[in-house]
Amino acid sequence: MKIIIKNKSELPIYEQIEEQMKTQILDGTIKEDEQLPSIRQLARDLKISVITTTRAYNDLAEEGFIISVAGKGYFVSPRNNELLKERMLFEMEEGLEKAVTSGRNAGLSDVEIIEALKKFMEG
Amino acid sequence: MENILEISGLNKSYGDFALKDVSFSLPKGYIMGFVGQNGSGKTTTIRSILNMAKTDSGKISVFGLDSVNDTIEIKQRTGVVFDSLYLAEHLTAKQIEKQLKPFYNDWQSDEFFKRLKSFELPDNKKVGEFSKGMKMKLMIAVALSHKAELIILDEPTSGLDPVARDELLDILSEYIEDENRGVLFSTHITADVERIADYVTILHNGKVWFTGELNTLAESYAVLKGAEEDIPESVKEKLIGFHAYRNGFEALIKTDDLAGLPDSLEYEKANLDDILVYIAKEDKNERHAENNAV
Amino acid sequence: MKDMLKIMRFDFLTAADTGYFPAVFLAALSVSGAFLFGPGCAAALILTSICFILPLTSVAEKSEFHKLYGILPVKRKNITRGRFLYIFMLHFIPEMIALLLLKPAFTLKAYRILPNQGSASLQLIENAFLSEFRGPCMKIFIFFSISCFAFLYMEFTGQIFGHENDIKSIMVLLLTVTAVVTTLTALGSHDIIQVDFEKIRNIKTLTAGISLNTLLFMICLLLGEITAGKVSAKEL
Repeated sequence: MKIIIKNKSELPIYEQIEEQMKTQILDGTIKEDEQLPSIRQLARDLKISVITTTRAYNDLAEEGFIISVAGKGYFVSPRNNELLKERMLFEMEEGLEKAVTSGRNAGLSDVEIIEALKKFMEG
Repeated sequence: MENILEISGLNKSYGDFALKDVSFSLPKGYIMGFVGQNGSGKTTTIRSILNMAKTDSGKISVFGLDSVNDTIEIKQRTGVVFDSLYLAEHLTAKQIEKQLKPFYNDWQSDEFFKRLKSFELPDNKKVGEFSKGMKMKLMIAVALSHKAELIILDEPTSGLDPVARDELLDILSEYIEDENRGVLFSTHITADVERIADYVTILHNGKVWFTGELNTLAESYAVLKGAEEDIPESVKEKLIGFHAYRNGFEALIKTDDLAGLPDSLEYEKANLDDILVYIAKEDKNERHAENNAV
Repeated sequence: MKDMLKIMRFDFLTAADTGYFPAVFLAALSVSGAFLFGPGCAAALILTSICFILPLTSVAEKSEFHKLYGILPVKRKNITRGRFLYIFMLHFIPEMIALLLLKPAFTLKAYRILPNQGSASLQLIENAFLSEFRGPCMKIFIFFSISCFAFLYMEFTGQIFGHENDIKSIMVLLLTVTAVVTTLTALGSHDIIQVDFEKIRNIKTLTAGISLNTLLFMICLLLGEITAGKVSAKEL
């Protein structure tokens, strides 16, 4: 897991952590069921406040990306978790909507857009 | 959540200055940044915690113990770092260790020397010859060598270069990994607080202006800019530290009050520096208003 | 109390570095003086105390010890009491050693190795070794009393009025003492008050020693308590 904090970013630090972790969980960089550093360990590694990492982990847990196991720590949710699925579906729909809009703006017909999608799936 | 430090209703006046009804708490396992202008009362508050200054009224408890009656026990478990060295300058770290050891029930010599090594401090050189950064690290080494559960730092980074400051933050980060400990540090360098503090207390003119989670504070204020004419009347009194200049104005405003403002006015998140600056400006404005009223 | 012992050790370690060398030098001088020139010279051994007391004030100021005292888990009063005890002990110990040196000094008669045996100056020296214990003993006791009192007094005024005024305080003390002694002697010689000089001169050595030491110890405790009380009320 690799988190890079940009101090000058408009985004609060806990959001930066959440975004980066979500991306890495969704694209598999962080494996499912992988154990994450503890809240305090992460704070130490990134040299940020404990409350910030706590907030990030709480938000991620609420959204279903990670789960807290009593006495053991935080783990990445198994992929078949409902919330995660929902989130991934949402991301897909967002992506598709963007693809369709962009394609149409570029002047492509619906058929051409579907062709491009198919090519993408095969490749 | 247990509080490692609790101050309530602290009042102390001397000469022109007074601490008025200062109250704040630091829960176990967290770091609190203590900020405010010079002369706002931070050092006095810290000295009161350590029973180095008498208070007019109020109660301070550390580890649940009374700061006056149980001050000796508190000091066994508290490490302190001041902005200047309080150890014998003509002695070496080794000799100083010999001096301090008998006073602490839980002094660990090996821990002390291990720290000296990791901080790259020579144990046989006169400590008066240390650089400012090295002196600060020496005080930390002492603070960390008697199993202190609370570390209080008063302007530890004043006069330090960015590298030394960064090293200090790293040390504090490592220290707070144990959730039974706490850190209180007063500083001017708001960037350090924003980086590593969980809680913040802002002291202004001897009073607590804000105390609570740093994240909450960060989300509560914004800097508003634009043309003076565009400010709705009802909002004018909600502005803090209003400052007009040729091309417009700037002021601090609570994010709650941002609703319904015209689009011509722009705002961006306020950071700790902004807040301190505008609080001070507000003071100045108030003083001018008083003078003009007279 | 244990705390006070810790403070005394602390003070010693603070002063030891600076004071060690001159102290050894002075000790060597006084010991050799005692054996070679007259046992009374042993009294100079008490001067070693100065080496371990004087550095303390300047160090405490320069190194901002008042902050350290605020941090250490020790009662402020004990820090002050410890300091006064330290001054006393640093006089008492050399005093005892000086007294112990007297017997060997007298017995050894080491002055015989000096050159010019039979000269006038050596005659003086020989007399010193032929006299009684009383002379050197009293010298030691008196030296101890004066020096110990002076340092206790300086510490007392220094802590309460600030150490910058140490010299002034000593001047005031000397003047007062001179004035008192002169007045008493004058009054005594005109029989206005009864001062039994004979009795004073014949006081037994041991009695003198014990009374002076006890007196100084009492003064140490008294000044220590007063100072502790006054200083702990001050802010650090």
